[in-house]
Amino acid sequence: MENEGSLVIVTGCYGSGKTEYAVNLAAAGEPGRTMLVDLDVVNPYFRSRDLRDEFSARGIDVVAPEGSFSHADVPMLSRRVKGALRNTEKRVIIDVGGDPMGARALARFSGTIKERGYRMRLVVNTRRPQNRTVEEVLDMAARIEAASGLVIQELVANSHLMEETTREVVEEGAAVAGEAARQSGRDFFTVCVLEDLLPRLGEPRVQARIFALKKHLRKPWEPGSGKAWRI
Amino acid sequence: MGDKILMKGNEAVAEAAIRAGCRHYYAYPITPQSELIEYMARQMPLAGGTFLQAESEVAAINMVLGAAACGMRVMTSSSSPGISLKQEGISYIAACRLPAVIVNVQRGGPGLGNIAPMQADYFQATRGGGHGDYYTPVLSPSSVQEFADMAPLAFEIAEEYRTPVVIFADGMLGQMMEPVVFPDSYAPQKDPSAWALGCKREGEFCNHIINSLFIDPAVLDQKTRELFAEYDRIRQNEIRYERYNLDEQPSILVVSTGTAARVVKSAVDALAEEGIKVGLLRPITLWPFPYQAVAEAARGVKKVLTVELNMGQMEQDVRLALAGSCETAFVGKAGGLVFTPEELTEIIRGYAS
Repeated sequence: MENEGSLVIVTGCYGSGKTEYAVNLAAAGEPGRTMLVDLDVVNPYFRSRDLRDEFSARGIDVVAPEGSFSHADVPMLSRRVKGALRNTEKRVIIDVGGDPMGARALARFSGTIKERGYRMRLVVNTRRPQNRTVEEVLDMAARIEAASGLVIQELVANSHLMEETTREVVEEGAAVAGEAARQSGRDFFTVCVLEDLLPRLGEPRVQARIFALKKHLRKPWEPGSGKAWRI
Repeated sequence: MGDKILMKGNEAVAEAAIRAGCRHYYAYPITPQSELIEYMARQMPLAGGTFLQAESEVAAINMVLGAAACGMRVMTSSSSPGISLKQEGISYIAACRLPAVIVNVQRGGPGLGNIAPMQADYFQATRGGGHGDYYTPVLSPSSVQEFADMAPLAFEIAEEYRTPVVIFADGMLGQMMEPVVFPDSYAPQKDPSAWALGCKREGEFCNHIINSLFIDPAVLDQKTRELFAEYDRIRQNEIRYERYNLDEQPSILVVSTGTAARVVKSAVDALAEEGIKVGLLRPITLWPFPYQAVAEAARGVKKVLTVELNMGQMEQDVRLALAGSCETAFVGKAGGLVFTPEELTEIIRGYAS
């Protein structure tokens, strides 16, 4: 289910958890037939390119600036982006930078994207400032659409406080995302919950499927973080 | 208390500063600190304050001096190379005995270095930083919550002792997200009429001359001694540190701060499960440094390790604290690399056996 669509674009407010969601979609993809495109020109740390080595070993192609540019804080994109968007043999997931600012990077590819057909998802975390209410979520969606020249069809609830996430936080996020989807005629696609927290949270009452997220982008002191921080 | 929300350290410290009454902020962007200035650009005008992106770091710190001289709660921020540029102004602010808060979200160095997290500005931060005979209190957070809580604390210390205060963060603390909660109220600003221009007390203007030029050596000597009398008071009242896993006698003591201390905690926990007792002393104030607390924690241990994200700077303070009473070793990483818990666990295990 989560892997529907041959081109999935993941957008959202800054810090909503887009990258973790996009990385999880890619990780669940078929080896040799999945590409993860890192279009994040906003964040200097915690980017999907940090997982490039681990993912390429598993047959998942991460398209992002290469060499020392990979660690640079300049708004540059990989020259391989357009080729990836045209490659209909592969399933392509695009991890877009946060806010309308990050979504602007999509605009120059909007023609190619429309030709191919796409599904664009808005990731919603109601525990981020300026993303807490239905109105704020819809305003964010409208501004991302204006900046990218593309249309958001689906909403993904991803309300969380990392390891401190409670059932109440998940349900609050699902309620806001669900209501925003209803008011705007979009599809309320899924509700993300960190896999490790699922046993503790029981079964949250939400109006969409639960998608268990595996935490890939770890802080340096979290076990298993090694690859991302030894570069 | 409001709801717990998820924020980057850079955003959280900016929000906390505004809530604590900071109404003037002047800075120049630099990675990995730029979310702080972006947040201020968006939110400071809404709070009725003044945000200004200066033409340079040098200009920004002199605007800070001006606002502080007028009795405002004022803050600036930057990352390592930008903080170096600000040092002249920080020295002037210290000499003028004005309160101000400076946030350093450190990156890799020397030179332009890179945008990865480091703790390589330790010497600069703890030894004054600019020219002349002075210190600044230095607060070193280890989580997003602590980073946020240090904004009001820094203003309180700055006003109590009329000194610039440095918050010593790094790119990891600035960039990572953690849950954070803000208190409902903050301590009000101390009455600025003791130092600021244009203040009235009992209807009368208080006259102050804000100056750092003292041509007569005897006068400069006197002014410097006044400054150092305040430093004695800071040493008496403001030393802060955390003791972790130190209740039972450990075989190894680790001294580490900030981001590095987070990795040390993971290693301490892992080693505890193996039955190896390792304690952590985490200095929260780097100046004044908790010399006595380090010496006390080191009693009876086999070795004291200093773990830093640099080539060995705080290590010198640890050795001053121990005064040769205990064997020491240094474990560090440069270039913006960060230890993994597994790697650090192995290193510490090596010293314990």
